[in-house]
Amino acid sequence: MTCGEVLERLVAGTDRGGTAPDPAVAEHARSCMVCYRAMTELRDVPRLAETLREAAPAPDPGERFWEALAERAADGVSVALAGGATARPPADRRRRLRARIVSFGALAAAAAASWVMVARHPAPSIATHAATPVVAGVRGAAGARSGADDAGNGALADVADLDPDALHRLLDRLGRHAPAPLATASSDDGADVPADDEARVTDEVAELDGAALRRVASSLEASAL
Amino acid sequence: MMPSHLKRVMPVDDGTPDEELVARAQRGDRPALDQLVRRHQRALFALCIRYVHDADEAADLVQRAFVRAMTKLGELREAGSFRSWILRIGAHLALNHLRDNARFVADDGGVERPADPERGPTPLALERLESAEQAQALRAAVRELPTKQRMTLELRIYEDLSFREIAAALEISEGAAKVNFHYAVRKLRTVLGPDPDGALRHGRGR
Repeated sequence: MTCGEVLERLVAGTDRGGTAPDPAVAEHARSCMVCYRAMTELRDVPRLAETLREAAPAPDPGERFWEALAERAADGVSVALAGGATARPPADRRRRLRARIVSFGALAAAAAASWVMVARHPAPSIATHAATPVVAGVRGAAGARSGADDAGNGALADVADLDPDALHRLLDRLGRHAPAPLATASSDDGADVPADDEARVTDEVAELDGAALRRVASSLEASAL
Repeated sequence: MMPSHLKRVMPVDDGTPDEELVARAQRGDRPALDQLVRRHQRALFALCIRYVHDADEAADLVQRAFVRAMTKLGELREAGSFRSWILRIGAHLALNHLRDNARFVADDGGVERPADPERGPTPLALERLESAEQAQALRAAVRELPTKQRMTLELRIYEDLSFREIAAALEISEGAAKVNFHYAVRKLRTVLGPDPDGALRHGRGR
């Protein structure tokens, strides 16, 4: 009999609720320190199990809780088997979804606000605003300005330095990445926002989805650029 | 008019095998599904709450475990081992939940105290305190076990699954389940300390 077989039998003995080894196992353990040690260790299984069960008794929140839980779980299964999603997404999924929407929204709002603030200035003043702190991480702005493929250029550029074509490409890219369900606003009157109310502009732009941002771009192109 | 959920007659567990209940539930038999859920929800909830320590989160996990089990029955190798299957899903969901939330799960808040070898016979209250501390240390040691060892130990001790069922649940061999169990017992024995009755039997007691 090998040590592996002995160990299996010893553990199986705990499975049957008893720890007394059969004669063959006992014979092996008398001449094998490893198996003797394992036999000694496994003698403590009943005591260990008793202590663990006492330390963490099965919870019983009451019949009403069990009825509600059964109802909820069965409802969830029924909906899922019928091809739908569970009636109520679990809390951690809701938290993750909310965090994702907020982060996308914040990114889109910041980028769009930067673009609007720059685009609202007349074309001759763009160069004079190049040193303003409205800086966005736009990859390859120089390449975009020259009409070249901007992939691979990792330099940061000032949005104020971009020409109208480059700004449109940036806006299109932002529009593609903007989450559609952020808001239902579909206004095409972005150019009518009062010039001295930057905070309001920022808030309103933050509410726009990708399609609305593109409409704002068209409107600005006609009126400002 | 009475709400529909109150009108529903709560199914009595008539001993129908899981395999049959699962098949009927898949065909849309709601009473069969109810019976299946009621049969296993307590063990599943007990398992989940041991990991997450929060009743609401454990209830969430129970619902998700049933949904996952019923929608992924194709992955169940033995139709008769639904119990070990659902417990395994619950344990994995609970572990994932802990990992995703990556937060400290508070226990009962006791302070671990070193044993005093010089202490003589103790009053009952002190013995109870020691026992509670030992139990808490033991639970902490269980949480520190590697995942497979912990799951094997808990499925064996709390859910009373056989090693064959544990092996099916964890998708390991029966031998591996036994080895995992042995390793877990070996580690926990150091926290459990020597058996006082055993020590007396061998003449080492004071």
